[in-house]
Amino acid sequence: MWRFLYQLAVPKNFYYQTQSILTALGFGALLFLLVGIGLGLFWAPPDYQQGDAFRIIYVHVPAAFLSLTLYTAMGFLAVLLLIWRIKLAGLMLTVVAQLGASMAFLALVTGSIWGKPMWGTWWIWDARLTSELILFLLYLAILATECAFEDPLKAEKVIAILTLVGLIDLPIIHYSVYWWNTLHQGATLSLFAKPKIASVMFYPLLVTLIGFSLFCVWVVLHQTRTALLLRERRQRWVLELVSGEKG
Amino acid sequence: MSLMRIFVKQVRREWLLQVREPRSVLFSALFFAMVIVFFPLTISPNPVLLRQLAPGVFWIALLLALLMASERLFQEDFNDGVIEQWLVSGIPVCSLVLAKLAVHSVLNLLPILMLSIILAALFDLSLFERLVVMVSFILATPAILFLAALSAAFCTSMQQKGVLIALILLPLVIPVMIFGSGALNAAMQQLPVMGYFAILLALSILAIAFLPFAIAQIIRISLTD
Repeated sequence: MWRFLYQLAVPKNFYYQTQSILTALGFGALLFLLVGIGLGLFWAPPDYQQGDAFRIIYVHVPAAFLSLTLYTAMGFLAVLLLIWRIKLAGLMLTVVAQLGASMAFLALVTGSIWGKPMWGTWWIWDARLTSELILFLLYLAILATECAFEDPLKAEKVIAILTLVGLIDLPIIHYSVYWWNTLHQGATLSLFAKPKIASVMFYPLLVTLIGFSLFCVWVVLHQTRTALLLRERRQRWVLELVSGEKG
Repeated sequence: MSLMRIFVKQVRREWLLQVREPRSVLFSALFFAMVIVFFPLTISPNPVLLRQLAPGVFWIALLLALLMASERLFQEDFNDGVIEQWLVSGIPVCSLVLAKLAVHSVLNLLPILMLSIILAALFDLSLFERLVVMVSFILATPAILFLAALSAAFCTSMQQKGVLIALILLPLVIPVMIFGSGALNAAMQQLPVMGYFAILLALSILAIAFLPFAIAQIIRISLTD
């Protein structure tokens, strides 16, 4: 197991070993997304309170879930980079940060679109909304840091430290925001006391959740492979690969 | 030399540097005062409204003043080559960073505290509320300044760093700001404030305990070639 993982951390092995699963991942993501969204749009009944508007959760919940999961993944990659000095992890770190930022953005936008007909407003300073917004800002800060350094290797290490500090800070932010909100406008919280979701609505959600996760893994692998080729462009294996494809 | 003696020496060095050239500390305090004066001018001079705004205004002014102060934190040492000497000396960089930040916390805080007593009059705060402002400033400044130093360490070797320091600092510092302004809000509504003080102190202790290692590591990565 460990041997396999160590070998996977070698850029060349990573490139060739992910090649085979990449297509499967892509088609798997497509299948799950199509089935999940199809079920969510046509099979699941309309909600007795919210009507058809609730169907946006099939995009909203996976996006919000993944924005958090990807941050945790970044924490893991940061540890890999800083302690085991696996350079591949640094490469993935920036890729995951971009994807995480877009997922957080998607969650905020879909939530806002849902909020307008349901609550009559695009935005409420509710605790969960606010901490998602702050997560988005944190992603942006990380991406800004990445842009600021000219040397990508240096940038990756600095981002890794920033990610770890943010990982410790995020729970504190979440609870402080929660407390700040409940002190001032506790009434809005009742909007979130949603009834337990019925299984006929839940299964499509599960399917789209798997679909979104597969999609994220696919995007991360794909982008990492591309970035890897660019970074290692002077290495022999890349030259061989490119000349092999030409000839 | 034991670590303790090095720490004391570093504290004395920073203290001398700052005391003999007090303008940087005074500039940030002056900036604090100006930001506070600006809010009534731009929003409304209505005393009731100003009392409501006071917690946010004071804390944003404190954050901005410390942000301004942090920009120069490592700059001169970097230009002089002192930081390179830190790195090659074999002394744990985190202890040097800790000493530096301890001095800067105290020196930046003192003028801001004095000004805040006076400026609180502009917002019609009672004596007890002024006391709450001062205590919460004392408790929270280490947390804010250590986080600011973290983002300043990222940016020391770059051009146009001011904005980037703010971009990194602001999301991280949110808890301190919420509980800090919460303390004054609670005091204004005659609610107990000790809980807020305890949390601010906890955040500061957390920052003092862990951030010097992160800052030292960043200095090692970003300031060496």
